[in-house]
Amino acid sequence: MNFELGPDEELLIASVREALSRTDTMAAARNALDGAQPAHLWQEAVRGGWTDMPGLLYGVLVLIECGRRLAPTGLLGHLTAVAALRPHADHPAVAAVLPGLLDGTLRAAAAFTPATAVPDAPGADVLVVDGGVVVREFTAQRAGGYDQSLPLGDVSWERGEGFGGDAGFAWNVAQTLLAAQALGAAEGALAIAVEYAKQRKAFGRAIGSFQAIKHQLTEVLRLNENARSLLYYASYAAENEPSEFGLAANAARFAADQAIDLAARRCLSVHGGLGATWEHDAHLYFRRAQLTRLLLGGQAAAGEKVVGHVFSG
Amino acid sequence: MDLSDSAPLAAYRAKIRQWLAENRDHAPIGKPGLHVTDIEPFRAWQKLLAQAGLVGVTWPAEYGGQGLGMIEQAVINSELHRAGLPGALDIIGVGNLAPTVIAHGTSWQKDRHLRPLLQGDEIWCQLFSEPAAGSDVAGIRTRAIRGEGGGWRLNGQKVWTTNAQHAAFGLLLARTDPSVPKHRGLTVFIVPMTAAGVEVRPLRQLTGIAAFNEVFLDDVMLGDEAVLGSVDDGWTVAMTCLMYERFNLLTMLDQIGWQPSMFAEPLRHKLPPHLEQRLASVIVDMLAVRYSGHRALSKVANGEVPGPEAGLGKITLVDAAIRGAQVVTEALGPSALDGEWGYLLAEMQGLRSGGGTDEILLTTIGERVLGLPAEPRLDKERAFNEL
Repeated sequence: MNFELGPDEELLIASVREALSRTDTMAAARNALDGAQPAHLWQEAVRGGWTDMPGLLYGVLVLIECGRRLAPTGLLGHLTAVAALRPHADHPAVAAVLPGLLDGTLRAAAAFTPATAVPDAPGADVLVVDGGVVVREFTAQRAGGYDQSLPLGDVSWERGEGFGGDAGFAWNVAQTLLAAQALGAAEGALAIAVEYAKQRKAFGRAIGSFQAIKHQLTEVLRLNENARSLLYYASYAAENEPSEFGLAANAARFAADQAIDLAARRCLSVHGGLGATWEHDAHLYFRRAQLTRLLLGGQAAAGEKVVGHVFSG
Repeated sequence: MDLSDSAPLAAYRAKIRQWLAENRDHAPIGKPGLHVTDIEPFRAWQKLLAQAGLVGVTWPAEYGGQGLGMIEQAVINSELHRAGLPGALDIIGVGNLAPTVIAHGTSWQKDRHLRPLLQGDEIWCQLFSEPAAGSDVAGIRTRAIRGEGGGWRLNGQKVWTTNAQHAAFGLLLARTDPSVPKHRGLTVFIVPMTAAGVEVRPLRQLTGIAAFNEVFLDDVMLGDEAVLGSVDDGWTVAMTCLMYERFNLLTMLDQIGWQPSMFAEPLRHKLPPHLEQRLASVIVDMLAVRYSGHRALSKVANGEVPGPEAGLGKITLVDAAIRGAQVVTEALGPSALDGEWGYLLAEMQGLRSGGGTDEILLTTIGERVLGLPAEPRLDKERAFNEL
């Protein structure tokens, strides 16, 4: 058993970073708040082959990188939907869409009833509802604009076709991928805070040399690393210990919410007044943190499920 | 990342699992926890484990180990955990001190000490911390002065010494040259705890029991064969020991036999709804400790040295355990404080300092891992005796 990243995974991460760096996603996230067209990097995802990921871990690694740059790629919804469909590739309703979803000619989102604030729903071609119903015709009303780099839609539809999917499995994949995206943002926020703490001088010293600052940032690192470990656990469980996947996925979600919450707040506070300005990136991470903890049942639903899994395990 | 066992590792795991199943009746009842009061059943269990090759698996075969990697050690830990069985009694000796002897010892020292330690016949303790030097361990004052005709005379005091009352030997850090900056004039000694002038006084803790001790050294005479590593190069030796201590921190959860669900079990069918989120947070953190340990062990198995970030797991563990015990006692009522949960709460307060306080760990990790600028250090480059 090797619980650390190997050369293949490092290579994937490097290629995702390279591809995402071609767009100034942070500036796009800010400008979109003022009404500019938000960035959407679905075409980068298609070009990179990220629409068809072998195993949950690869999806996790890609979404961590997307989160780090607040890059909207559609993959949070898409990879959840694909994971739900893939075990049922022979079902006619699935067979009709899966090849297109895998090669990126179609994009999917995953809704869980009541299907409000569904990530990546606006503009998607296919909707998978509760991990077991394929919907081809639906409307996705853009929901909220607090964080324009995380597109959400309130979804409605007339009819769909059931394919016997596993709602719990799809939910756990969604929680894991949302957690991955949140961790990426938490790591991004920590990185800019650390950089600033190294440069900014006060009382004749870099402020990062003061324990009050150093300990706050290291505490963020602790929560980030906890979330990362649990994301690896969830990726492992999804394929090797299916009975633990629910516990692992919800634990990862819970931990990632805690991490991004602290990371975003510390990032802001370490930057002082600068962190509270519109032009600085800190508030973009802060917005992401506030929004993330409300999605897909919220942090509290994940906590409830963690306890439930332990009691039933 | 390869999340499944390779074929040889799967076979190894099966072998360990079978041995544990066949021998579980010989295991002592109950968990060893952090501190054991009645040590003999645990000592006998360590011997049985050692004879079966389940202790010191990373040690070279010539000293009774198996010459295997940390990954095999992790397999054993996880199988012990799975079976709900304790591991070796002398975690500190087997995990930190013996590997330091293997790294720096003479062949005589290795031949003399390693096998009895492995078998649990001789328990070891670590004599680093002092009343005036804890986080700043290089500031220790215990003096070792070389005798005219060779040998050493030791005077000083050590504190917070786990297992000193059971130990046959201690690994002691002493100052041999106070005229140079503090990190340079140190030497590590192997001290027989039965030597004349060594006095162990139990230190009763807030738990009510005396798991650790004060150790007084009053004109303790040692031969040159007691020096581990080179004279005045004790900081190098101590750092080796610290690095191995990090292994222990990483696998602590498995070694003390704690399950991530331990704070949930007593609340099955009686968890008040308002405590659910707090319990969830505890479970999540305990799981995180476990899988952070897996990650770090994987790095080690790939040939990396464990970094200071191992300490983050200990901070999380202590914090989660305190919150966990508080949730349990809140649900069960005041009388729950009288038993194991009150004990655990108290014990965790001590562990907050053991293996590094939260503050020194956060400082070290902030500087080494995040690359934040160092604290100003006023004693740097100044002779110790001029501070």
